[in-house]
Amino acid sequence: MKPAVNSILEAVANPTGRFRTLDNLYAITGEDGQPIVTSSSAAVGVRVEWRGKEYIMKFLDESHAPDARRVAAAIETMRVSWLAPSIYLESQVWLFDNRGEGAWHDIVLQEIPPGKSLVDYLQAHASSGDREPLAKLFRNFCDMAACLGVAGIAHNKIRPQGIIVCDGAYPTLIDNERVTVGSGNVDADDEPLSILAVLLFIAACRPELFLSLRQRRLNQPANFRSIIPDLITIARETDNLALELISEGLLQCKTTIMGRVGVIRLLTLLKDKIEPWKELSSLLNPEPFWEASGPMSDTLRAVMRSGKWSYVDRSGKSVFAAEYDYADDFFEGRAVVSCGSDYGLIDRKGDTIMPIVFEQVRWYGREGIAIAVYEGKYTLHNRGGAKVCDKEWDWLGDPGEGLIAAAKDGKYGYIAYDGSTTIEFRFTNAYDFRNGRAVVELGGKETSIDTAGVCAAN
Amino acid sequence: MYSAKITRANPSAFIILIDQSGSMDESVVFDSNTMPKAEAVALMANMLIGEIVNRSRREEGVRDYFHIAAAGYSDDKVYPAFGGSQYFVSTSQLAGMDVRRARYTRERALPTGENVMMVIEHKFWIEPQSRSNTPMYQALDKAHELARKWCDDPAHSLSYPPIIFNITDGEASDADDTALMQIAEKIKSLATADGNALLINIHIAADSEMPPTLFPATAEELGNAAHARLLYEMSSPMPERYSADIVRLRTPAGRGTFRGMSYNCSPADMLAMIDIGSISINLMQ
Repeated sequence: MKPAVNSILEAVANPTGRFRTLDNLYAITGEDGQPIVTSSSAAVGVRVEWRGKEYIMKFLDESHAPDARRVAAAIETMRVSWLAPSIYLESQVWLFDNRGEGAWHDIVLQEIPPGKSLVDYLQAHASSGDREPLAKLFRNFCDMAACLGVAGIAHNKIRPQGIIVCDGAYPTLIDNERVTVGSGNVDADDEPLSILAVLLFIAACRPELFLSLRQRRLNQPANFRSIIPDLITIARETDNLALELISEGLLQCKTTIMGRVGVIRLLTLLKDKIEPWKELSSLLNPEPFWEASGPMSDTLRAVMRSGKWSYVDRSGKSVFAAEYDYADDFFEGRAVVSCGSDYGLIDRKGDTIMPIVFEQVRWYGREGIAIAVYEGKYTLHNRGGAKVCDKEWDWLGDPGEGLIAAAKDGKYGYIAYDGSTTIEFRFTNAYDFRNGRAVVELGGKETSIDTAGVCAAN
Repeated sequence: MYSAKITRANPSAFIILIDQSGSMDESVVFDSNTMPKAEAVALMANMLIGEIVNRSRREEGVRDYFHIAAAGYSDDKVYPAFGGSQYFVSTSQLAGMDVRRARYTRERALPTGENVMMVIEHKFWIEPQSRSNTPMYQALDKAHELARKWCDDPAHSLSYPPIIFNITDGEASDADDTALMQIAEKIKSLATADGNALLINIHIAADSEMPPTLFPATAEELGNAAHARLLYEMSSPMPERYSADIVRLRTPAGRGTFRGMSYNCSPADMLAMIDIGSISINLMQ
């Protein structure tokens, strides 16, 4: 467990007598006058100034402390310039817990090398179309991958936010709490390292393509996979065997099987292939950016352009032409859409399953049923859009445990998913079933019933 | 169960109910600061919110790992405690709010043995208030409504379940024990795939002859105090994940399934309760 941020901030704001050796330490504050705090699953970091230099003071999760100690020692011994210098300080700071009891805590003091974050560096040079600094960065990145591999260092969660680009386009890794040294898993970071290398290669060859990928969030590891087939096409058409092999490795998740030695060999080959491509792929003709978007769901994403919603696939291409005023996320092959105040249900091809004429449509993918409201009456539909029965109700709750709370003529009861009545309409109110029971109102009193409709004994 | 990693795709939720009735005007001492109970409660709730916001802070900004709802209850109504009309607010929205800051002094014993006064600044997303009655049933009903909608959202189906803190110093003025039990059961029956919602009732005292009881393992620990026993029955059995921290807090630790409640606790005890009740923060990725 990490110490509470409140207690860390207290120590940094009141350093006198709280640090064993770090004298004259100051918290660096942001625009709001508050200390700059960043957290991760492994550590809480606070920006500090000590003896004229900027550092991130890291308070590690207990489970990461032994690794961090080993890593700091290894970095110091090996003098690996690709990793920001850091010092592990045992029992350095006196922190109070929420009950006011104090205890010594270890910290890692990690230098922040002067330079630009990788994100800012890429944005600045890709925007200006200045390929040379980007090419230099890519070559240095390949050298870094080789050097860390030889030294038996795996970064594990290598990512753009954790890299500072220093003078001479040298990348320096700053999230050292992620690092493992010599523990036999040097290949653990091959996939994120390879993805980042390919993105840097794209930036060096086609800066505008890199910007387009970034704009469409395709540079993010979760979405990157969708562009790999296009990359393989580009690699084949430009006779770039290294890019083809590394892309295929990523497509088949074989980067770790390929091993660091294999990745390094391919990156070394890729260094000599930095040149602009011709217009070869649909990747190079991106669709316009959207104003709002939902999450990727059922492999499709709802996006809004010029105030209208439609759906795109992982590469950002429209999957069908229809546009809506509202488009819900797909779930189990169906999505609720609306035009004006009318709602309907569509499938993944954009075909209409329920016409867009209802006052409300709710889709329950797990149960495979939809509930629709037309002229104030509720009806029950299957995943094909057809009514499961001719019955109508005044209200229907959410399905669960095989039952749906329903209202008819002022009384509440429960129906099955085929519309048949399973618990008679005798209640004045009824809630959905949870864990085999539902709360109902009967004779002015609340009680609970089981799925057979039997009231709880008081 | 109770092990889902908390991510932006699978966020979790806290619902904080705060009794702001007239009795919360009584004074308590927290460290060397004498303050109304209402202020102490607001301070603790704000410390929890500050911790969540800071733990959600990444290089690129604050991520929405948690949805936090806060409701005050007094007079005969329940109202959003963050101001405005929204109960649920995301972590990034909280980080962007321009709220009052207040400084407190705390006496601290340094490792040298020297006692010093330290100044600590806290943000106040929730402002203290105290007036009139204690409509606890209405507050729990609102918590049920909020938690139900949250759990019903398919986007939260795999999430770590919501935690509901009910911080109070008295008895409900709007319902009898049966009604309170029923609404508590409804809250506890809400669930995600990772487990049921947890209802933690924290009862604070200004000054009491009776020693505090934190996370009792049996109802007998609470003696014959009827209200304490009601809170015990209303509160969730705490999952195993919480046990090690609860055992560290309790003297003697006792055995059995601990209940998520405290009775007659001080502001410092309340802070410890909230601290343990929110250990799910450590599941943030």
